[in-house]
Amino acid sequence: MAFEILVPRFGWNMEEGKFLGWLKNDGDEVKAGDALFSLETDKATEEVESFDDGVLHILPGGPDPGVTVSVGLRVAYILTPGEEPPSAAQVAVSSASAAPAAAAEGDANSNTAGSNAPVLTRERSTRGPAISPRARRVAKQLGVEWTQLKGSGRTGRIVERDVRTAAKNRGAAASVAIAREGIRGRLVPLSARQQAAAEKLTTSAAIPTVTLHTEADATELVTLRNELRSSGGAPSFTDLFVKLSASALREHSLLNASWQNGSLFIPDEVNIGIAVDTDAGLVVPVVRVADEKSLDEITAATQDAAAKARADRLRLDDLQGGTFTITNLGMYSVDDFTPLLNPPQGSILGIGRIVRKPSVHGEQVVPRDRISLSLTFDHRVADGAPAARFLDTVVRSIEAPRSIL
Amino acid sequence: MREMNYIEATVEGLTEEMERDPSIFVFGEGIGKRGGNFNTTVGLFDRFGPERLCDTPIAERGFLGVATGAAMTGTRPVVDFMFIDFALDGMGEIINQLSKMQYMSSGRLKMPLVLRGCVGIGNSAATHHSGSYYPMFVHIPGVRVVLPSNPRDGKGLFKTAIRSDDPVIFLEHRSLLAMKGPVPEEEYYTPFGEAAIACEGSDVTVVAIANMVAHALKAAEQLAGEMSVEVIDPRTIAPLDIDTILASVNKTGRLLVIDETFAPCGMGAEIAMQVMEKGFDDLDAPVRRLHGVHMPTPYSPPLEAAAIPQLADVVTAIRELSAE
Repeated sequence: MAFEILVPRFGWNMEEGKFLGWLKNDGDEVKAGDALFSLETDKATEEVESFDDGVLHILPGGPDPGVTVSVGLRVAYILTPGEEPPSAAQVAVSSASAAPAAAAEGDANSNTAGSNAPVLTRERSTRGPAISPRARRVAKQLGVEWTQLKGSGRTGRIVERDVRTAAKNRGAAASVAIAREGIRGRLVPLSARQQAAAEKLTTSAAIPTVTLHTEADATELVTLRNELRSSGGAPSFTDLFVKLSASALREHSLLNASWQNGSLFIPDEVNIGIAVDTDAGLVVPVVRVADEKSLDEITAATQDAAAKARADRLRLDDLQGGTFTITNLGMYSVDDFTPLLNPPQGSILGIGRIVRKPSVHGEQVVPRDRISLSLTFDHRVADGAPAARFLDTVVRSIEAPRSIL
Repeated sequence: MREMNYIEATVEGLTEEMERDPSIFVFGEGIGKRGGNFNTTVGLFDRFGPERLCDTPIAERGFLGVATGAAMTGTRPVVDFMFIDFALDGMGEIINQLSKMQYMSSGRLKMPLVLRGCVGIGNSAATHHSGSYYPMFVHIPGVRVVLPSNPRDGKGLFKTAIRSDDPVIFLEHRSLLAMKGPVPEEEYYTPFGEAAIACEGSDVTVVAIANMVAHALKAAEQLAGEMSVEVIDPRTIAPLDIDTILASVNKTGRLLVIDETFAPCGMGAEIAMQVMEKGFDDLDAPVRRLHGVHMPTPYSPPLEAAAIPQLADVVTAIRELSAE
C-alpha cells in the first residue's frame, strides 16, 4: 500500500513553507520516525518524519531546495519494497499526511453545496392523510384502517381520538339498513377480532360441558379484604379468587387440564386468565404461575394487565398460555350464570355478586355475606365428582380465606 | 406546616449545613455584614464570622478562581453572585476549570462548589440584571443545574447542592425570593434528577421551568372545566428527569414546554428532542414550546411584559396544543 507524503501544516495560520531539502534519497528504506525532509515556516525549521515503514519514492518534478511549497502538496510516496508508485486515483491517505495535514486538505473550501447538490423542497408528499405517531400506534392496536379517516387535528391530522372514535363506531359506521322477514333493522359487520371471538365461542359450545352451581359464605373473605386494604394492600375480590383458585388447582390438577385429541394435557403450571371488559370487547389477560405468586404479586400482575387492557397495549404474550379462567360479574347485579369454556382450557369459574342475606347459623338466622359460584368444565376431561371436590375446596377457602395467604 | 418565604428557607438550609460542616464558606459581594443583596446570608456573619462569610471585591473571575482552588483543596465554597449575570465574567473558570477538574484528575479531586445567583426577568431590572443563561450551563459537561420553583424545594435542593461533590449552579428566579410556602420543620434533602408532578392530569403535559410552574398551575386551574392538565416541574435541568416527562407524555400524548429563557437551543428544544427520540409513538401532536422573546431584556415595563410568557399566553398555548 502506498502512503502519500504531503507538506504538513505546522501552525493554524500556516499556508505554505520553504522546502529546504531531502534528508533521505529516492529509493532509501525508511522507518516510521525517520526524518524525510526539512521545511522552514515563518516560526521555525522542522524536520518532517515518516509515519510508516517502506521505501521512499520521491516524485519526479518535486520541489527543489529553497522553493516555497503549499500545505498539502504531495512530494513523495512511501511504498512497500518492489511496489510501483500508484496513479493518483489509487492513493491511500497516509497516516503521515492525515494527522498533520487533516486541516490541510485544501479541498475543504471546495466542498460546497454546488449546483448539483440535491435540493430539499418543502412540498409535502401526497401519500395520504397525516396521522400522529400515537394515532398510528393506536390504529395498529385496534386494527383500525385509518387511511380513509377524517382527521380532527388543526391541520386535518388524524389524532388518537379520531382512531378511538372510529374503533367505537366501527360497526355503526359500516352498518347497512336492511329488512329481514319484514322487520327493518341494521346489519353490522364484525371486526376480525370480534369474528375470531365468535368462532371461539362456537367451538366452545360444541364441547360437552357441565356447570355446577353453589353458594358460599363470603363474610370472612370480605373481612379479610377490608383488613388488607386498611393495611395498605389493594387486592380486588378477583385477586383473592385467583389466589384461592390457584391453590385449589394445585390440589385438583384435573380441573387445570384440557382435552387434546383423545388425550389429556395436564400442564405443570397454573396460569389463570381473567376476563376483562374493555372498549374493544372482552379480553382475557393471563396471570402466569399464579399458584407460586403471593397475593401482592397477583394484585400487581392484575393491575398491570388491567392498565394494559384499558390502554389496548396487551401483547399476544399477555393473552396466551392460560390453563383456567375466572370470570367475575360480581360488580353487576348478577347472582349466578353459566360461563362458557375458554378453549382449549377445560374449566372456568364464574363469580356472582356478594349479597348480605339471612343465613342459618346453628339455630340462629343471622345476616351473612353470600356469594354464588358457577363452575363450567369439559366433561371429557373431568367427571362431576372431581369437579365438585374442586368446588368444595374453593368454597372452603372462601369461608376460611386466611389459610391461603 | 409552617409557612416561610424562599429566602428564609434557604438561609435556614445554609445555616444548618454550615453548622454541620466547618469547611463550608461563602464568597460574594456584600454577603458579609450586609447579609447579601437579596438577604441570602442574613445573620450568618454574626454567627460564623468574617472567615466563613467572606466579602469579595468586584472581580468575579478572580474570586471564582480562588473558590475553585479552594474546592480542589477540600473545602466547600458557596459563591454568591447576587445576579447570575455576573458569573458570566467568570465563565472561563466555570467552563474550563471547575467543570473539568474531576474528569482531568480521574476523580481524585472533588469539586464541591455551589454557584448561586438570581435569574429571571421582572421589575424593570433591564438587560444586565435579567439574565438566566441556564441552557448555556446545561450545555457544559460536569456541572449540575438547579432551578427550584418554591420555598420547600428551594431549601431541600440547596442542602443537596451543598452536599454535592460536583459543582452545582443554583439559580433562584427573582419571583421566588419573596414567595411564601410550606416548609417542613424536620431536616430533609430534595434529590437531584427527580421531577415533581406539580399537578396531575390526563389530557396535556406541561413541563414548566422555574417561575413558569406557577403560571402552569394557574392555567391548569383555569382550564379545569375544559381539560385535565398535568404540570411537571423538573426542579433540576441537569440532570433532567426525562423519564417522568416520558411517562406523562405516554399518558397524555401532548407536550408543551414553557420557559422564560430563549427558544433557540433552549430547554424546549432539548426536551422536545428527547421526547421525540424516546417517546415518538406516544405523541399525538407536535411538541409545542413557549419561551421568552429572543432579545435583550427591555427596561420599559410594557415591553418587558411582552418579552416573557404571561399566564394568558400559557392558557392559549395549552388550548391550541389540545386542538392540534
